[in-house]
Amino acid sequence: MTITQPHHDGAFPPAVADAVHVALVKTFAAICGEEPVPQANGSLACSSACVAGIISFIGDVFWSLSWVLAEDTAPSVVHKFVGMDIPFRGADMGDAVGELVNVLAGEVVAQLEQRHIKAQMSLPTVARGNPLELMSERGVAVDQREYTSTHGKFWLRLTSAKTSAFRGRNPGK
Amino acid sequence: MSNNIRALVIDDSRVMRTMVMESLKKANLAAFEFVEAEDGKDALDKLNASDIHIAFVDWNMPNMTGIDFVREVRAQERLKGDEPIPLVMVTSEKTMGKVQEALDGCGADAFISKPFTVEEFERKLKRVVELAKLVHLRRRRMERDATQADEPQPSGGLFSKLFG
Repeated sequence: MTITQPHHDGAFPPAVADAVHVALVKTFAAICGEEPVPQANGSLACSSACVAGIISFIGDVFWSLSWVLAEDTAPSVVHKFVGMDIPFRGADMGDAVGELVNVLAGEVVAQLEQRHIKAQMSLPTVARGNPLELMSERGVAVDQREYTSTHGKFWLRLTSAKTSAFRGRNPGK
Repeated sequence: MSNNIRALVIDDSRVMRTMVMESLKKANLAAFEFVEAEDGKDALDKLNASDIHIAFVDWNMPNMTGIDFVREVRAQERLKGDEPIPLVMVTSEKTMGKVQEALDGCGADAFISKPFTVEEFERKLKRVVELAKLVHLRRRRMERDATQADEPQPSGGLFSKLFG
């Protein structure tokens, strides 16, 4: 996976990023029974194949979330989630990862509500590739983090609309 | 008519439908048989064509969302004077506003958040599955009564005495 670093003129809203991190830890713990560990200097690229669950949000901030799972990680996490073996290249992997990111997004919306940030989520999209390249348009703000767990590595990439979409607002305050 | 509770499982994700069905089989609530639907529109067709006693409904689906399906089912039941069937939202939506919209605003009977466990199904669905059993029982009685009414009256019965 290659994540193309976009040109941006603003930071991703920290209140939203914090809500996503809390939601991820909570959701992952509920599914896998362990808390994932964020990597302070996590790499932004992975040489193996990846699958990404992508979901968009509208509300106080217009943004999207991509949950990117490495080839070895996805079947292991999906097995814990659905209780059955689904191979990485199987037709059901899209269904499972779509549902996985949907569950995360539901928790994200709940976490945002606690921070007084309104958000509605879209239907999920799933992308799989080797390598998988995620690209963003110029001028967007990006927050990306790597996590490790006993199920393997994964990444979260948050992308907000061009900063003018939330300029003048201070979401969560 | 089978003794099993016939459950309509509505989700655009085949994997999620399987998870719901497997969890219901493992939960010690009732013996189920399943009808699957991919969205609200598909579910309405199957609800009208099949003898459904309970439905498990995802929220976010293409064509017709789960909440629109719940509204439509309740409207049809009121129009036809049908007994309401239990409707269970099984969804990744978690905010109190969404729970209230589903339960108070639209007439769903229960709300399960994903990810769920078999134990949660057992704990949260006991009451609604009992309602589904009642729906099933009443329909069986109605069917039996209708069958008996259609059977020819024995000769020399009240009809013969009255109308000779």
